[in-house]
Amino acid sequence: MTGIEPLAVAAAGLMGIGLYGFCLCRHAVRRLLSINLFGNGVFLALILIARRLPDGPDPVPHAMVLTGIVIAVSATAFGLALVRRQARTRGDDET
Amino acid sequence: MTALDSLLALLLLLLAARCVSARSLLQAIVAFIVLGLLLALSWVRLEAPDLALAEAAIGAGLLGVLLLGTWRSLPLGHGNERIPLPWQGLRPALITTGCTVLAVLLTVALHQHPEQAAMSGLAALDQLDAAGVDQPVTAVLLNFRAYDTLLEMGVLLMALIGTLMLDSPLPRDTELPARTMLPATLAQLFLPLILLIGLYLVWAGAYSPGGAFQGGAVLAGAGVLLILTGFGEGDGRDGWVLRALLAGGALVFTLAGLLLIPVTGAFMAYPQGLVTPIMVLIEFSLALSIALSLLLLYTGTPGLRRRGER
Repeated sequence: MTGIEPLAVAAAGLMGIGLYGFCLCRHAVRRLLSINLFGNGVFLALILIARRLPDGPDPVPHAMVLTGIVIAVSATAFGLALVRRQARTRGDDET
Repeated sequence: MTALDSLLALLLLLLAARCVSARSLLQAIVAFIVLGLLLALSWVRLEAPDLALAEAAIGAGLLGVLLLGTWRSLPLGHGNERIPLPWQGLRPALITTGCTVLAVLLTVALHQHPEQAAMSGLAALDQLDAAGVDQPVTAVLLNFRAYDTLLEMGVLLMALIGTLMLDSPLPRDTELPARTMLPATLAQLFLPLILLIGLYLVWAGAYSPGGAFQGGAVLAGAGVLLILTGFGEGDGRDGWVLRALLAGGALVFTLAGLLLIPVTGAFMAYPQGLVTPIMVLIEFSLALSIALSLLLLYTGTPGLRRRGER
């Protein structure tokens, strides 16, 4: 295969943009979004790697991505609960 | 067909940039959700339809609902910020350089092809007959690499427990604000279809794209719809039935692995004759646990009840 694979560029770009956002954003929800962008880039890269097998896509990276999606959502949901709690505690302090 | 791939890649990058740079947090969240859906589309093109289903249902759908729910609970204007552009100052410039170098190196790495194919994938495809299911990804998840999936259920449960601990100081009799924003007809029209699709996806996981995670996420989506249309709501109390269902996935998985040790001699090895029914049992209990965990992560309460019930 020759030439540039556009989705490989997208995977690398997602990781780059996610890291950029993670370094520069201050708000917690935005940082969570940035980590998830990075994660989405990693998933896309794994799926591209899975296509290297000659007979059909490799199921092992696919299973890893599926596990990864659920773990990412669990961790993000916990992070969002922390954000909500922090906002509520601050609100209580102010009133 | 590279034209479509290029368009998808371009849109993904633009949406990611928008998600990071949008001033309003709501716009950033919406960009993230759209990006998730486009990502799912690109995975369909990369021969990964089951992952596309999971990304659309969990990564874009449920995570989107969670993000928007959190946005709604924050004070207005909270989280609106303008991040500095790459040329505005030394720090952004340095970070941009680092991220660009990373992206370029990763692009180069993704274009290199190793001489040797991945052995684990070949081994999995070779032994597919022994797995009890025809779908390679399901076989890897529930049989060949069952540890991963079991521990993943543990992570999901831990996240739920952590979330409930954080939200618990809400006094028990607090009236939660009415969440009825959608007409009830919506639920009546779509709920049967959503339930049907969810159960079908769980069942189909054995031989075609689908599986416990995708089906569970769709079932959780049905629950979210019930809450948004005002039929159900979160409850401060939970019952043992709910707890049993939440832990059920991990428990059934562990028990099936443990009880068969005398027969097969190894943890999580299944005897040839029983393997298919065990897979289906594990798959359905996992799907139920996943659906309930995701739904409770959304409500942030330990229990569920019909609206108006005490």
